[in-house]
Amino acid sequence: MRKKAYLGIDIGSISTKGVVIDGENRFLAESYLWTEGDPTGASKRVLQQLKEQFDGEAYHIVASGTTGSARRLVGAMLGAQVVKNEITAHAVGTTALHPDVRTILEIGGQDSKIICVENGVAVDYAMNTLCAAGTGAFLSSQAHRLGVEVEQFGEIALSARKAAPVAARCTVFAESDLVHKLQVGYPKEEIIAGLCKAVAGNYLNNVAKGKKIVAPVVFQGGVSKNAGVVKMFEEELHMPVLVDEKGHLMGAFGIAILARESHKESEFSFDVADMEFRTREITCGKCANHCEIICVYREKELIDAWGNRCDRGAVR
Amino acid sequence: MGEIRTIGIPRGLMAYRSGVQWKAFFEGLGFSCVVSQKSSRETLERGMERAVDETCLPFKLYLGHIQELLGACDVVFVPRMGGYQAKEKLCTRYESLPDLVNNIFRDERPRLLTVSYDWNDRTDEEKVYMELGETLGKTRGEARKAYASARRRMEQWRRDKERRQKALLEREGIRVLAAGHPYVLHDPYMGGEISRLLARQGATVLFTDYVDREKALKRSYHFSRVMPWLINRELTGAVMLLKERVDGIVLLSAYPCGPDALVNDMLVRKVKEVPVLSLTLDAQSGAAGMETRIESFIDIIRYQKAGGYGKN
Repeated sequence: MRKKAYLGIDIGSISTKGVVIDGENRFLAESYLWTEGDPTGASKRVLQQLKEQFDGEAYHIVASGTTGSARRLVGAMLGAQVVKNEITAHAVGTTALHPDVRTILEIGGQDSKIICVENGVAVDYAMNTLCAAGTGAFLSSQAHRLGVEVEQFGEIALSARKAAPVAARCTVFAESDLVHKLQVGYPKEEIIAGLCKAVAGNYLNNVAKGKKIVAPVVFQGGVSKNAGVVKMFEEELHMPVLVDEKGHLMGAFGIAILARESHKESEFSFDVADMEFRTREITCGKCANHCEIICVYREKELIDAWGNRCDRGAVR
Repeated sequence: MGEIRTIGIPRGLMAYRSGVQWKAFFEGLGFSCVVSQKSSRETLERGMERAVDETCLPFKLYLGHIQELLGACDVVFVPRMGGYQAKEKLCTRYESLPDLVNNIFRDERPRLLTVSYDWNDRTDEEKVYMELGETLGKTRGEARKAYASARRRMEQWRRDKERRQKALLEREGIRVLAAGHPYVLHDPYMGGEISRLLARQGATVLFTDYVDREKALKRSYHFSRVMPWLINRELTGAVMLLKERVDGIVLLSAYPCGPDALVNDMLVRKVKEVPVLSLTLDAQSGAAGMETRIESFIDIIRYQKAGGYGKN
């Protein structure tokens, strides 16, 4: 008899992550790739990669879950049992692997968050607001300006003797400050170290403002792969900061666990990766609010719709 | 000046706190009132066309309400409110309201009905209403009678809200206190959206302005002796009174609000008994992006109550 497996997909603004786990939280398949502004397309590619690694003879997927900013869209596409916010998904995933964690720092492509944990459950959280300063997108744009790959940032930062002071409160100011520092002759590695320090400092002063950071601290999200930022966090916090090898997959892992714990089961087929999904935006004209309603179609059939403030705008 | 028969009341700002009393007073004096429609996206779009960028979202909506009333009534009621006590003032927006409206709509030259009071005037509510009655050409006796009856009406309305909210406090399940200026909490385009999202997550929503105003005001002096704003006093006092009886508090502010920026930060630091979520609404995104924040917040409360993940 085939054993049960669970699928989790985390669709972020920059990257899309997917995992398949078994009943004991073991990873059976995993995938990580760029969203490239196309959440359904990225999810299909993730499913294809997962399918290649997945042993369909030994396991079958009985539940799925989605999280991340496109969770609703991809949730409709997969017929997911659980569609949930990334805060809960990250908390569930991280506490499953690190039961003693007290603080989760997360810096992704366009957002950053902090989750405070007590006795294995989240007790408080904060997210960045409109501004994306100090996130992955910020580092990418600065890397571009410096002519360096963002993946090399960590290594270069660690080679610097000291960090140049860089104003990273705002991307606009950071850019002009950066140009100025280069022109007056700061070495590139010190500027990169400065950027890493600014990201950590900006995070602690904004997102984590007023939150008590207690060890053990786990750092995840794309930016956690940057050893320079990790080092700056450790220096600022005076405590070790743990980066899990699977840290980038925590949201997908957490939502897969939640799908399993929902105890709602129905056979999942990788065939959805071959189906056509289309979305259409309509403006409801039934009152002065003019709600924008998103309709999702699978092979021309309407499967879900949302965005209406009241029942008058209900499409289905 | 032509004869006044109908008075327009913009459904924004302090109308959400005192509108019942205004309307009862004018009607008691024999006028008929036109209240603008509930806020919608159209209201905001109209208001944004007239407002400078930097002003706050509730004021932009207020301008939309004024615009709607132009031509629909003989005068629009736009009071100038400074507050009655030194430590119970109102924000500068209220202290300049008729001037702002007159200037912004200078081409339309709307006829405004106004009255002005300040904390250093040594005046009180009754005197202000008497003056308003006089402006409308009524005798002191008529104004006094209409004021007394309007006040009773307001009182009744408030007690009714308070009583209903007390009953909600006994409800099972997750209870969340929404804290904010009344015109943010109850405007369908601002707090209305947030209440809807909270209710959809299964939470019972309570409001800081449905708590006994006098008790809350008094309690606020324990929170801060120096805080100068009336509405922030009422809402912090209500938070202090209810914090042990709810599962979470949502601080709701509309961008940019000076008093809220200061006071909500204080609240986040001082209230440690229950989870606190601070939300800021702005004209660009409205309630978008709020869903994730509210869902996460309710999850935290729910899993805390259940004692861990995988237990509910």
